[in-house]
Amino acid sequence: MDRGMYISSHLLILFGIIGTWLSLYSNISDSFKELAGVSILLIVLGLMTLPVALLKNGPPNLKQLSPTAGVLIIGVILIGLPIFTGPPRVVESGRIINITLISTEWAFNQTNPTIQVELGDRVRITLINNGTITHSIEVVGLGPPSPKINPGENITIEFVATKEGTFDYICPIPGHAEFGMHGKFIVTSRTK
Amino acid sequence: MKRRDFVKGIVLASGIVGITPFIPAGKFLVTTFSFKYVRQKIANVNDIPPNNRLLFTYPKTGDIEQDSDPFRKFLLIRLPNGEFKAYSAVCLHLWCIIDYKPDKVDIECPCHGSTYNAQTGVAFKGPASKQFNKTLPEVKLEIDDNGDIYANGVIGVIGYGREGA
Amino acid sequence: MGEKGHKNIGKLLADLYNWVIDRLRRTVLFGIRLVIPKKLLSIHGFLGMLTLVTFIILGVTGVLLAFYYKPSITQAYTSVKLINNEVEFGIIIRNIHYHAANAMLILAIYHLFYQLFSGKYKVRNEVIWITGIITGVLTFLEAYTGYDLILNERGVLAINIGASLTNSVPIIGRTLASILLGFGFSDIILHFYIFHILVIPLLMIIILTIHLPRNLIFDPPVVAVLGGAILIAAGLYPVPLGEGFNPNIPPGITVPEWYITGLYALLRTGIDKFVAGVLLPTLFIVYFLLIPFIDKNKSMSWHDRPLITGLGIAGLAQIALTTVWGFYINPNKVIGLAERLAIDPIQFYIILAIIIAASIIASYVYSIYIHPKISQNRTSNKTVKNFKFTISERAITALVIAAIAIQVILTIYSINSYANKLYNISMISMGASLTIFGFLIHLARIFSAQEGD
Ligand code: FES
Repeated sequence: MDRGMYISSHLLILFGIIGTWLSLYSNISDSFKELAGVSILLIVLGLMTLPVALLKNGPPNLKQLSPTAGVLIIGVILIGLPIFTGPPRVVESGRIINITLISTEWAFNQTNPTIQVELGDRVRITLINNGTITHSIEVVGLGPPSPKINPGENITIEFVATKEGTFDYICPIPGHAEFGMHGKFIVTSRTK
Repeated sequence: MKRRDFVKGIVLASGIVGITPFIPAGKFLVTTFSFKYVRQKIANVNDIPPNNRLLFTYPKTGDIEQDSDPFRKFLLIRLPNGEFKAYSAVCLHLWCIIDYKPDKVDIECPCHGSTYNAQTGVAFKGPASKQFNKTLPEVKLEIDDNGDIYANGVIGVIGYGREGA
Repeated sequence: MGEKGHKNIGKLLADLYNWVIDRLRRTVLFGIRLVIPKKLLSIHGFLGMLTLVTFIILGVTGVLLAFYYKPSITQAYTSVKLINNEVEFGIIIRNIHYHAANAMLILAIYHLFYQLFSGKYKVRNEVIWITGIITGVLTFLEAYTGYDLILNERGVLAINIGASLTNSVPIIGRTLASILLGFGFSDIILHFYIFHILVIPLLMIIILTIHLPRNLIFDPPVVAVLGGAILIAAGLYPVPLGEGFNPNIPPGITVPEWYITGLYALLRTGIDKFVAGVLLPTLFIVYFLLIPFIDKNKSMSWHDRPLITGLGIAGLAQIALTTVWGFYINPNKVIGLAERLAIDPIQFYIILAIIIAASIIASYVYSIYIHPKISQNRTSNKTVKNFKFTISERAITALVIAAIAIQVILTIYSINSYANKLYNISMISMGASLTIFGFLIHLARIFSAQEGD
């Protein structure tokens, strides 16, 4: 074993694992997904230097292998498990909720009405842009934002309400929610 | 003084004198574009009714590539009181193209909602208003007897770059 | 006749070779001695060489990309799109270029900190150290000017930050900006292009001649594996094109590339732009430049000079922390953009200060209390055995055949998946095949070493 390389390859892998976890699975912030490229490269480089570090001056003993095992287990738990388990399944209720929202500056349907659905409902939101500039729609936490649409166009997004709780529906174009284009989207538990 | 030192001194002096003309040539790299902001006709008073605006390219070169540069886009505004104003159309925040809103008599940015006073060009709302430098660069306008509007130079720096966030 | 002809040709070739080598001995080329190690070495000994290899990869792929790229406002983005979507192997070349750039920066940082902790900047290596730091800064600038060239939303964000930083320099800021950026977008893109493909690489090559040592360790297996790593990373994460910059359409919030987010985090704390964006990073670099002159300790080992080691750990932790923090944007999309991006300066700088203090204390504690104990233990039960791999000839044959078989399968798979437009899988298999190639060279090395005994 080579001590210096042992330390640095573990550090590389650890940094990479943390970065990959932040970019793929953490809900802390959307923009962390941009970390993916470099984190993956860090993991690959770390994994490729690990054998050199371990085997250089003879095979490692058990005590030296345990940090390696620890790092690899952390990696499997943080990155491997979510791939297989995935998000919790929610059985669809079979109902389809159609909602039409009309965007103007700076509100949806003038008043930003509160929308209420039940867990497992399939929600279809049609956005009609009656404003003078580009708008879009996103239910934060329940699905990706729709593409931006120009005045006069419309677009439909569809998703299943898989989580209970109170969410925001907003215009994801920076600044627009701040000026008022946001309302509440409530997912209640199933009534029957 | 020894002869050798004298010769050295002469060589040094000659070298300095020889190099001197090259020093101002460093200006080759520094592009001050005052010469580009020539006097150019941009519109006629009759082209644009009161409380309206016109997007124009200045200085116009005739080259599509050059003229598509956002930094050459300006907004000519005729305020409700008939006064003419022209500002750089580049938002101070992240360089989106701003537009004049006749119903509100202000200039708005579609990107993050910076709003500028149409009279003065100063941002009072949104990210641009939180910057140190929040005044839109302004074009010096001249109107002749025929009602032709000429642009003649720009006050301020276009594309200064945002501050902080 | 046949036998004799062979011999003559062989002799002719040998003569030619000797003749050429003899003439080349008079050139600068032979000033550098390329050492190919006979056994597995710690890659720490030749991290600089690996960085140079990525630099060469970048040069080659960069030239290829330059055949199609057009530095103009209207065509910059469309030409990169063309490279990515239409040009044969364009997507692969572009991804190699992107990931090799990342790898070069990672390796450069790795190299820097290894040299720092192992005290290699002493013993008459000061000039090599200083030129190394300068090359590192140039590498950063090279990467920065490179990713702006696409002129997508992300690139323009970075151009905007760069412009505002240049302009913020007191007194000479405006002049500097007009030299570096020129006037308007068409100049910016042209200037960045010239800096990226000519000025900075040229400066790097010139400075590298003062940086490279005379004995270069070149380890073919590790180089092959590095190439494999770049390709595998490229396959796992093909770099997206992003959205083209259009001043009439609002950009989504984007963060800059990972090597700039540290700077971005500093800027977002809201303190003076010049201080946060120019002065602090410059101080950081100047500190590194001065290390050989601050550290007068004769000892090379890191536990004998706890202050420098502590500051080094602090530097590494700061780079990691600010980089990750720069990616953080408040997920609450209802509040304003300015508030979402703002970073609380007090919190931020206190954490940075804590990191510095903690690293220095930890390094002192380690070197004064813990290290002596450990080294005592170590010397007491040191059992140095002369370890040697001995593999039976049969096992080697089996391994080699298996490896080559896997390589053949991977190659076919790679070509096939490229034809089916599965570029990810194609790149991963290429990388895996290259990695196996590196492994095979290493095996050959072990084998010939056994033969030699
Ligand atoms: S670009 Fe105008 S507000 Fe951001």
